[in-house]
Amino acid sequence: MRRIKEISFIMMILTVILGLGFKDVFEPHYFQPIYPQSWPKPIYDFEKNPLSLEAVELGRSLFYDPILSADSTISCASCHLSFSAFTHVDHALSHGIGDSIGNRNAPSLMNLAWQKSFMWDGAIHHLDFQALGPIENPIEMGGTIGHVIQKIKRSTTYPQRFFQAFGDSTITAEYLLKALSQFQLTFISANSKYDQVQRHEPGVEFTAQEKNGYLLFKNNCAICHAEPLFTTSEFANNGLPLDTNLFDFGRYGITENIADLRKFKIPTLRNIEYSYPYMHDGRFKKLSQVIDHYTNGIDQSETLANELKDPIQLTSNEKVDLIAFLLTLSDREFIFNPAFGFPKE
Amino acid sequence: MKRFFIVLFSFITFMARGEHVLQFIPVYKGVPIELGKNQDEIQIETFRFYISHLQLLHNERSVWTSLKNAHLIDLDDSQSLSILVSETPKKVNAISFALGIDSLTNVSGVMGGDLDPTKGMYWSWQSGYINFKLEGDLSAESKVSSFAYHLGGYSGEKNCIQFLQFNLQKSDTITIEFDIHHFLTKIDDKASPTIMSPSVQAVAISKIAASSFKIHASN
Repeated sequence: MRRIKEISFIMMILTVILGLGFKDVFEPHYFQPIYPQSWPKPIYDFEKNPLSLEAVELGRSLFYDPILSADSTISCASCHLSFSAFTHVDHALSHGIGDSIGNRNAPSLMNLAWQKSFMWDGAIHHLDFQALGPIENPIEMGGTIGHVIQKIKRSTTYPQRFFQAFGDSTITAEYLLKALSQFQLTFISANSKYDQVQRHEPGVEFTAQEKNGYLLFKNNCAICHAEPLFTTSEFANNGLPLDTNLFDFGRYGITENIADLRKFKIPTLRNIEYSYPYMHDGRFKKLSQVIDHYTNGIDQSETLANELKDPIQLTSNEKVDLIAFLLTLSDREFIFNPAFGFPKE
Repeated sequence: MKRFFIVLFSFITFMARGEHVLQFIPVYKGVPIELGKNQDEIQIETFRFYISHLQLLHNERSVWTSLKNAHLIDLDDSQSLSILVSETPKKVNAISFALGIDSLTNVSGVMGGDLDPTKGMYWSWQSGYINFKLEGDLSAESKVSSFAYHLGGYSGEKNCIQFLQFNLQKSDTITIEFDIHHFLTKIDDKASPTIMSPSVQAVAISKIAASSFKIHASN
């Protein structure tokens, strides 16, 4: 018994000594996502994929790496640019591999841990799986996840980084997708003027215009674009006339339920100043056009949202005030955050 | 003295435990199928499916549950066709498993191992695992018709998962045959030979797939 104790002690000392000398130790720096106390609990299960600096940085490198596409020309960032709230700035419809044009506008990416589903039609139900869509879509990145993994395995730098992030230098789709999720989960936008006013921060107050706009917003828009995330993440038909080139029936394409015809996921209005053009097909370049649609452009149909059955009434002054309020949702700290930009190395 | 009894106890429990081998064999009219080979009138190009909730039972009680969330049985990977179950109680008289992945697993985020998306059993354009993939060609009267069944779907009436249970007489080697001929002939002729998305039809065909499993148990 004493012998066993002695041997165990020596083994322990040896392990510590060897451990100190061994550079490649799996020691991730875990951290919690930071968000306002008043917000609801995130939907994303962080326990299955706890955030670490190493995994987030790995995800960032992957997000900006065109290796994810079949001909290594398209990266996630090609359509999701950090300075336009991660949309494809000034593009109504995004273009993918070989300049092929898609049929939808790249949605903005923020506060993803609170999303119940992803894509305009909710085709993807978990953030981890979202990247598979563009990776394997022949008109986006045009490849297969298997081929992407093979390419990354041949890299001289990625295996080490996968080890540092997940304790395993074997590169699998599970780790790749989890790393991408982690990077995207850091896109939390909660420091706009609106947020500062909500928190009663000293020296920050709405102007009279913005105050009036906020009131108009609460009376006319907030049922679907509910605070604090500015979306309920539900699907709705907001009366957009059907585009007869695109024939996009939205959620119906996934559920094949006629009650879902022409319903699209309600997007967040945060950082709306930066994420033009607007709607699932980017048909509106300006916010004033969006508001004019809601007052004068609603197309009646069976599945039209109940809230829009009667047109919204706004005078031209009120429209200006409403836009003034929407501009208070701009979070410049988010838009210009260097942690979201192109990785330095 | 204490040590002696510990050893003796371990020995006895060890002797009371055994090993079982589950062997999956896809067949066509009684003949085992080889991938890519023209056999009789059939040629199978792809055959993969998920087994989950794998359990061995004794008198309706579960005596062993697989620690693996899901097993991918792939005709292209001969190792995957056998599942070695060691350290199981010797008294086993039934086996149960599900064909496919349950809804909870489907909504739980990305996982690795047999559930890794590189296995080609996850839809990229819409979330969800593909429970069962069978692709091939059938030649009948000098006409070759291709079929491709990708069965999946996990919510509501489109939930494809099928639970199966078989009684076992003796159980050291449990051979589970999948009768492809039975499967193909039971599917409605008028139905499309291509299923590629969740649907009520996919559920109906999943039921036919479940009914195409047959068990042979021997020592």
